[in-house]
Amino acid sequence: MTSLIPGMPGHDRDRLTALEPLLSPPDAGEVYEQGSGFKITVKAFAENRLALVGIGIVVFFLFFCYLGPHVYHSNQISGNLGANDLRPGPGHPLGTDDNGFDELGRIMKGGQAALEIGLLTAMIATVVGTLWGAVAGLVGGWLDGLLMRIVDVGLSIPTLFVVLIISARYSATVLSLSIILGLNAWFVPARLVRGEVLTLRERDFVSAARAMGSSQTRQVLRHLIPNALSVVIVNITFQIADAILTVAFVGYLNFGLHFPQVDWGDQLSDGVNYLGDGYWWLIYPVGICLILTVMAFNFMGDALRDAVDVRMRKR
Amino acid sequence: MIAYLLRRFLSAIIVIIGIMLVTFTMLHIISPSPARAVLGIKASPAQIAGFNHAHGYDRPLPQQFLTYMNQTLHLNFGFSFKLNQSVTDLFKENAGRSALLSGVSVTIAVLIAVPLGIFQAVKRNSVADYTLTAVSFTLYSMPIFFISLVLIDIFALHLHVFPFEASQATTVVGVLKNPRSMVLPVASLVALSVAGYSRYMRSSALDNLAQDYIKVARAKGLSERAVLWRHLVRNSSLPMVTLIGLSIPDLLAGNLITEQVFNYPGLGLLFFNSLGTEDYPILLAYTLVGGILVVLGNLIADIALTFTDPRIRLT
Repeated sequence: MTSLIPGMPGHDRDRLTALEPLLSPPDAGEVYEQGSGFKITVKAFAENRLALVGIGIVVFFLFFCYLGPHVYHSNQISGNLGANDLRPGPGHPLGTDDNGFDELGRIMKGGQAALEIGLLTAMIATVVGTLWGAVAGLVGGWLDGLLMRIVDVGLSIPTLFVVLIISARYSATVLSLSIILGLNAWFVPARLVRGEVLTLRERDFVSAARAMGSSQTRQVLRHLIPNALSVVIVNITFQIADAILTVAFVGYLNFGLHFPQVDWGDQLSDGVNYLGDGYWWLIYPVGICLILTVMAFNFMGDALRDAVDVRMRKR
Repeated sequence: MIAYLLRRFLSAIIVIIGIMLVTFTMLHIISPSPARAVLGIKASPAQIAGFNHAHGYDRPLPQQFLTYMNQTLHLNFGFSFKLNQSVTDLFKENAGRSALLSGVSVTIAVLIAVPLGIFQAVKRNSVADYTLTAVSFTLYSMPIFFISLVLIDIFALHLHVFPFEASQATTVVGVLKNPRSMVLPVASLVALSVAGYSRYMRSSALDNLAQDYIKVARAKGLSERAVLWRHLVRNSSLPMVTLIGLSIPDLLAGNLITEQVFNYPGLGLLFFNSLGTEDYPILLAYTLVGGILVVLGNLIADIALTFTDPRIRLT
């Protein structure tokens, strides 16, 4: 939902200033040590303040969701109907929900599901998409046509519809949601990788490898995929953001995870019923966590895209 | 040009057939025959077999698929046994209201995003630009139902300016007679789209600002206003055509959520209600229609671009 076109290239070109100190001209006669491409990328990434903010938020939520429950104990297994819908106060910093679950602890639990689904989905989508795109780009011919038409079909079918239908029919767990989402999300990386492979395979080093008789498998695994990796890594962050949002939609429409598991989307949809009663603590804290997490991954993706874009480096 | 258009049409048709194959397969796996749903759980195997034979559910799959394709071609999207109504009729009933909501929202979003993006590009790296970027980034990372909830909370529950439910009128004219009730749903969809469009518009305008023709326009003494409105706007809003085509899946998803949140009787709400009743003919027919809309949207965008941009000469 968020990235209208995931991996859309070329905006914020003016953010090049991040590279300026790195590229200041060396003294005459000296060889300017530039470091490896990887180092430059890391440096450019680190100098982008938004990226650091993004990493900061993600690290915060990892600690919050996974270490949080060990520090802040709350009962998330059995509700307490005598203490439901309590306002934030002593004992319950963010109040309690309709079943008497402590809201702060519930956000931690919901965050685990969101992060796990995001990462798993991105992994599945990336692995499938990368291999698919690499094969299509390398083999070419009618197989390329067939594989890419399949990708076109996948890109045309609205993901949310398919995910909703499947999770309404079969019950949803973290794993099943990740698999459904992943199998609906690999089309974009497939297309990106194919494009990258098509340009890469014309490069001299790949021709050299071919001339030296390396097998197709070796060309794909050793030369093409590693070089197309930057595009893939950028896409992973957007995939995570998208997956977290889609799961929130599914949860919000009540076709998400089931008790005792909980997702931020579920929590929001429970809270909506009490919006009219002014129970703000059931909505705003969860909503802000959701937005911050998605935003953090989008920041990281944006910064990574700028950092790995070789064409934008003023050499 | 002709050859390009022909090839473009051909690939669109192939992709649409692919989408049909996917929805047909899903329908067949999830509910091979509606016999049980129609005849009830006490129906004897003989009755079921009789029903299947009468409605053609016992024929070989490829033959059933051909029938399915033929029916789709004649705009017959199947029959909802749960609502005892043909899916086509249900779609006809609801499509107008959904089209109104989406159409108005996209139009307003474009009208806001184009000037906004250009403003940001012209004033790039100013406080205003950073603020607007921050706002659009936040909206961009927000699930649309959360935007709606915040709007409802502020404008409907606290300020009592707009109603929290969308118009329940059955006709498009009826909806138009009650514009106040449509403000919040439209605003939610606009916020979602503007966030994506304006970011793209900004980068497109930035690219164009660096072009020579802008320098020429300035050098020949045109006022900044004329430079922007006569030269920059036209050139940098061309990519919007493609962007709108590409954003259709997100628009359909956004429509689904908005209609659910505001209880607006359109295709999205029909889909949501069918999820609850497990009415698969409706669900998969809407998925098919959504997919076809995406393909047609991209096709129209591509064709429009070849006509509006004389630099694109495809062979």
